[in-house]
Amino acid sequence: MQTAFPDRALTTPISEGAITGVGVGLAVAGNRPMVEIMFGDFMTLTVDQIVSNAAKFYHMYNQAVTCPVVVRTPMGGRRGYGPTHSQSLERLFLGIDNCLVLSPNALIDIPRQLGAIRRIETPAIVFENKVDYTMRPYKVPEYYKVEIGSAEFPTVAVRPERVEPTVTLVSYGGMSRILADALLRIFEETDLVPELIVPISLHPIDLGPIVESANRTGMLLAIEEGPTFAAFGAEVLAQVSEHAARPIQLGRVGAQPMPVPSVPELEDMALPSVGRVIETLRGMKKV
Amino acid sequence: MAHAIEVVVERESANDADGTVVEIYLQPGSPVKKGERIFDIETSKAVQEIYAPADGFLMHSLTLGDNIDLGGAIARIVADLASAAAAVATPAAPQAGTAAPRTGLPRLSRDATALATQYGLGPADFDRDLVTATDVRRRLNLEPPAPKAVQAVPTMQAPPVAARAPVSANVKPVAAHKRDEIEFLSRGAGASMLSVLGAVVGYGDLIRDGEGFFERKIVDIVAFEASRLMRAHPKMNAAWRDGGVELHRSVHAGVAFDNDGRLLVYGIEDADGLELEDLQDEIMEGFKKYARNKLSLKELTRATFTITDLSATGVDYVLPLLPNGQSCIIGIVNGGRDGFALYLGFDHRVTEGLAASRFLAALRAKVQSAIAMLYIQTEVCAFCDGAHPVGKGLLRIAGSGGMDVLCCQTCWVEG
Repeated sequence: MQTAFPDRALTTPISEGAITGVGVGLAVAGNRPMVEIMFGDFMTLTVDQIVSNAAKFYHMYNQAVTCPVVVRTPMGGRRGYGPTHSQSLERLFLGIDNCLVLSPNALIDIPRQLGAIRRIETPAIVFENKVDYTMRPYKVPEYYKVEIGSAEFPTVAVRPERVEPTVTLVSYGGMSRILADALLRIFEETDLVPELIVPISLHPIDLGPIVESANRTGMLLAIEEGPTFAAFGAEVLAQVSEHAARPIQLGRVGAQPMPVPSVPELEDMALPSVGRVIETLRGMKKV
Repeated sequence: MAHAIEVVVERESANDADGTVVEIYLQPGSPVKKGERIFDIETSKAVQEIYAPADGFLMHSLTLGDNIDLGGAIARIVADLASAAAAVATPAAPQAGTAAPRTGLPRLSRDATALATQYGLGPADFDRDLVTATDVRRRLNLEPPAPKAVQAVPTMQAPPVAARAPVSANVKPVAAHKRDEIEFLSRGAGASMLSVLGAVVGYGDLIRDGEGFFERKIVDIVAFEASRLMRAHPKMNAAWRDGGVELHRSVHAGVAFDNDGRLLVYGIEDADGLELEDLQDEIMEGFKKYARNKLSLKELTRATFTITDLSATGVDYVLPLLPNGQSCIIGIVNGGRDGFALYLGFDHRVTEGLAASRFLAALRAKVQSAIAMLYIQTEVCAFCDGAHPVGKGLLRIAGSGGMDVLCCQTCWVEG
C-alpha cells in the first residue's frame, strides 16, 4: 500500500487510540480515512475515539459536521493465537448511536459487500475474520443457491434451491462460511432443511430477510463466534420475537464464556462448531 | 464398505487451509505397505510427506498439481480388491475448488434414510432435492401434506406470484356457492369435511363359506362393484386439492390391511377393469406382500379410494376417515343378522350428500345382486320344485333320458 500510494498511506504512532484519533481528525477535515487495526483485540483501545468523538460530532455540531472514518480490523480465532489475539469483540461495539458495524463474509466478493462504504457519511467499524482471508471463493453446495439482498450492505442468503427450508440459521463473518460449507451435513444429521441468512450490517440490523425467513420456517438459530451474552444473536432473537408474524422457536450458539485458549484442541472446544450447531438443533427439535 | 482407512493430510499450520499435490508415488489400485511414502503435499510453509497409515491397496483420484483441503481425507486404503472396486466408485473427499458433483438424485437426511430403508424406498422414489423424514412419511401417506406457507412474504428477490407451480390442470375449481358451503361447514361444530352415510347389505341367512380367504367376507365384492361404479360417480374417485376438485384418471381400489400391526392401504391398479377373480387374486397377493412387509411404495400410495373391512371384528359401526388424496372410503362392518353394513365416508367439499347417497345405494344394490348371483343363487329340485342355494343339498343324479337332474336331499332320502 505504502509503495503504491506513498502519499495516502500514513505512518502513525503504535497506539490504537492515536491511530484512530488521527483517522477521526482526517475525517472531520473532509477526508475519507480508513484506519487499520491489525488485531481486533486491540479495538478496546479505540473506544473513546469512536464513542466519544467520531460517533458524536454529527449531533454535537448541529449536524454540520460528518465523520466518515472507517475502522477495519480482523477478529476471530481458530489459528492458535491465544486469548489476546483470537477474540470476537463485535458485541462490545454494537448499538453505538451513529456508528455502523459491518462484517463481511467469505460467501460473495468483497466489493459487492462493502462497495457502499465509500458513499456513507457516518463512522463505520468493519469487523473481518482472519480465517476468511485464506478462503477460496465459496462453492455453493448442491441443492442450494446464493441470493444477495437489495440493502446497501446486502444480506446474503444461502437457501435451498427447490424445497422449503425448515430452519433459519443466522450468522455473520467467519462463522457464516463454516456454516455455509456444512449445510448438507446439518441437513443430514438434523433432518431439518437449513437456510442460512448472513447479514453484513450488524448495526443497524437488516432485519427484513431474517424475519422473512423465520416466518417461513418457524425456527431460528443464531450462531456467532463470540460469546452469546448481550451479543448480535441476542439482538436478532429479541427483534425477531418482536416483529415475526407468528411464534418462532429461537436458539443461540456461540463461544464458551471464557478467554480463547491457545491449545488447538481447547480452542476447538471453546469456539462454536458445526457439531454444536447440530446438537443444538436436535435439542430444539425435541421441544 | 468395510475396512477402508482414510489417508488424511494434517493441517500443520493455522495459515494454510489447502495444499498442492507435488508428488504421487503410487497409482490408484497399487498395493501399499504401512509407512510407505505415497504423496508429497506442498503448503505455503513446507512440503509434507504423506505415508500410508496401513497395509492394503491405495485408492485415490489425485493428479499432480491438484489442490486439496488440509485436514480432510485425500485417499483411502482398502484391505482387499473387492472393496477397492467399491472405493473407485466412491472416491474420497472431493478435491478443493471443485464444485460438488451434481448427482441429480435427492439427498436424504439420516432419519429419512432410516425410515425409507424400512419401507424399501431409495432416493429415486422422491422428487425433492432434500428429503426429510417428514417427506418420507408424506410419501407413505402417513402424514398430511405440507401446509401452505404461513403468509406470502416477499423474499429478497421476490418471485412473481404467477411463477408459482401451476395447479394441476386436472383440478377444477369449485363453484362459488360450493365455496360458500365449504366455508360454512368449516365453521360448524363438527368443523369436518368428512360426512358419513350407512347402508345395510342383506345377506340372508346364507353364509359365504368354503371361499378360503374370503370366507364370511364381502370385501372383494365391494371392491369389485365400487370400482366399476366409479365410472358413473367420478366424484367418489377424486380428491380435494388446491381449492378444487381433482378427478382421478384411473380407478385404483385401496384395500386396508391391518394385521394388528401397521395399517396400510394396498392399491389395486385399474381395479375397474378387473374381473372378480383377478381382483380376488390381487387382494390375496397384496395381503401376502403386506404380511411379508414387501409392499412397494407405489402399491401403498396409488389407491384412489379405499375400502376398510372390519366385519371380522364384530363391530357394527365405523366412521371411516379419508386418506389424503381421496374423496371416498367405504367401511364394511357386521350388519347383524342381515349380513353386513357399508359406511361411506366422503369429502363434502368434493361431492354432496345426495350424490354420495346415490352412490351408496347403487353400491348396495350391486353388492346385493352380486351376492345373490354368486352365492345365493338357487337351484330347483326336479322332484319337489323346492329352491335351494347352489351347491347346498342338491345332488346331481341321472334322470330319465340320460340327462342330469338335480334332486334335493329330502327327495333323495324319501326315494
